[in-house]
Amino acid sequence: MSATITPPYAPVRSLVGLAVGTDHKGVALRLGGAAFAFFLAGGILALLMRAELAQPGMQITSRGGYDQLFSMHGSTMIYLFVTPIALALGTYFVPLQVGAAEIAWPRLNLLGFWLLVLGGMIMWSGFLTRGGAGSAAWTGEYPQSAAIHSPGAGMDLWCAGVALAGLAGIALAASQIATIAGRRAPGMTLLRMPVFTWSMLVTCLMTVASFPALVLAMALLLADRHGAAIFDSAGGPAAYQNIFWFYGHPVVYVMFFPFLGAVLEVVSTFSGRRVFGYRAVVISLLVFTALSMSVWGHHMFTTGQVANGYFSLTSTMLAIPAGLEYLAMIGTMVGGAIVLRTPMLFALGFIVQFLVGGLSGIYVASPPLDYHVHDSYFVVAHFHYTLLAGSVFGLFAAVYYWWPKVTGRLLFERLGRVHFWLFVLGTHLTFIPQFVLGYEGMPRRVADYSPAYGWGGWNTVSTVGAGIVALSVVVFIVNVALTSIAGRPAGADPWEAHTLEWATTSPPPRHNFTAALPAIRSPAPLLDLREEAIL
Amino acid sequence: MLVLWTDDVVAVVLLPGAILVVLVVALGAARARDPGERWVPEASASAALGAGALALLALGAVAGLWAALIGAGLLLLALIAAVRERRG
Repeated sequence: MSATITPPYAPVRSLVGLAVGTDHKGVALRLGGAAFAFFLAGGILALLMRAELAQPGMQITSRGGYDQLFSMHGSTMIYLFVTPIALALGTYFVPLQVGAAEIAWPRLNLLGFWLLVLGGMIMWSGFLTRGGAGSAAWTGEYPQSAAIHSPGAGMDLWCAGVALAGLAGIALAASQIATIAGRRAPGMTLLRMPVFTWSMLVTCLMTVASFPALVLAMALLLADRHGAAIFDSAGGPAAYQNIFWFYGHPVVYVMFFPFLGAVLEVVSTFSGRRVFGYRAVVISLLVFTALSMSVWGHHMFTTGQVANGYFSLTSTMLAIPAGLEYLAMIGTMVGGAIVLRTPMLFALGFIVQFLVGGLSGIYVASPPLDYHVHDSYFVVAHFHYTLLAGSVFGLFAAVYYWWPKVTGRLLFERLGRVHFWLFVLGTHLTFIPQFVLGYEGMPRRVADYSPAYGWGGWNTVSTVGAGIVALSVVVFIVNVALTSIAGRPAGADPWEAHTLEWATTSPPPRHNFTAALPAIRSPAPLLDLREEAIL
Repeated sequence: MLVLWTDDVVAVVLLPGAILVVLVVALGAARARDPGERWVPEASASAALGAGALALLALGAVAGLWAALIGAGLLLLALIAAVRERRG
């Protein structure tokens, strides 16, 4: 544990403290709260979209309004919810898991929080402008995002907001990398770090490597929109896509690895076993990270502007480390004494449902098949199976698992199960129909479709599913509210978990640990202690 | 390896550029080693001010030069405040 000198003043707990306090746990909670608020806002946009698409014809918005809905839904979920909440998990738990008293570079960490909040507000302020918010999809697709096609301040605000959110990610990731590099407790070697910390390390490496490309793309796009004509040439749109997707594909794994790491922790704890194939998992994470920086061109197969053979090869190779990680999750459970508490249910949901997203990913990694489903609802279903039906299940596994540590209270188990089953039902009802619709040729990003295609039935089912997902989130919010009033005290380690964050009080004190840390001889020091006590 | 498949300059320089950024962060992280005893900042007004300054700089593209100039001024103030905070 790092030696620290407690400042000669009391911790800041006022409103000003909420704005400028640097304790990594407080920053993480504020960041997570802001991200969850953006999740609710983005979810409302999704419900409006699904209401519009439930039947043929224009029901509740205009075509231009629908463009804004899907653009801001995707932007909010990716830039303002999944990425920040993944980094919030790391901000809270990485210092605890490595036995540090504080996060490194705490000012940079706080800067990241504020950049994210201000970026989100700027992005959403586009709705207040005359032309409305950004409407060129979450990718800011060029030339759709050019001034001539998307005039008005809303698109400029979108660019500025995205750039700030990108900078926020870099700041948050850099402080976590520095914490892992320089603040590990004695005995905490790299190969004794918990898998969640490893997953955050590779996540943060991908973030600092790829997010500058996003900031660059937004800066160039802003300049282009104000007369610099940077992308307004024959190869311009492809150049924009190359820069954007250099960020845009690694971010898929930025939105996956933290939850994979959390799920591995949950599976390990609720199976009563160490992570199966720990070293293989670490190697697979590193291989995955290296490969993830080499696959962006598969988003551009149909442009004819990229080396399809190269990007198809690297994209398909991703199946190898992904397979190793699945082997580790299943291998950890085999022979274990599995306890099906809510975190474990969500972890199992992640394992099964992300598999659907992963397998359909192999499908779209093949250029001939991708040509068939490109820009169709098949792609929408694929990435929602990875992000909502996958990563968000991993997120809820993490939330139910670590909630007692963060708040000192256990979430209600029965409400957690209701939340889980509604979420499972809702996600499948929403996205299985979209696979069918996409395969039948329904294009994405359209506000209307002809009744002659016969897509109304599947779309109605998908809309009902979205409503059930919303209901499941309401159940979660009710659970949080009731727990804050009457939740059962958790104690330091309610799950008999394995890693160092459970060796301190719930919630942890300002400098994380008040007692000496246990000896660190493996990635599961608390399990080591229990096993030594039995012997 | 991509260079064997394509002569698109943008595509080829992206990965080396990213590696360069990672190396810069890695150098900084290596210097973040725990010095033993240190003051831990309890609060940092400079970080919040810096974020506001960067937001104003970005808004300059929409609102005009005046916003960017105020942002630049605030950024300078934030940097000075950060140096003062580090000195305790």
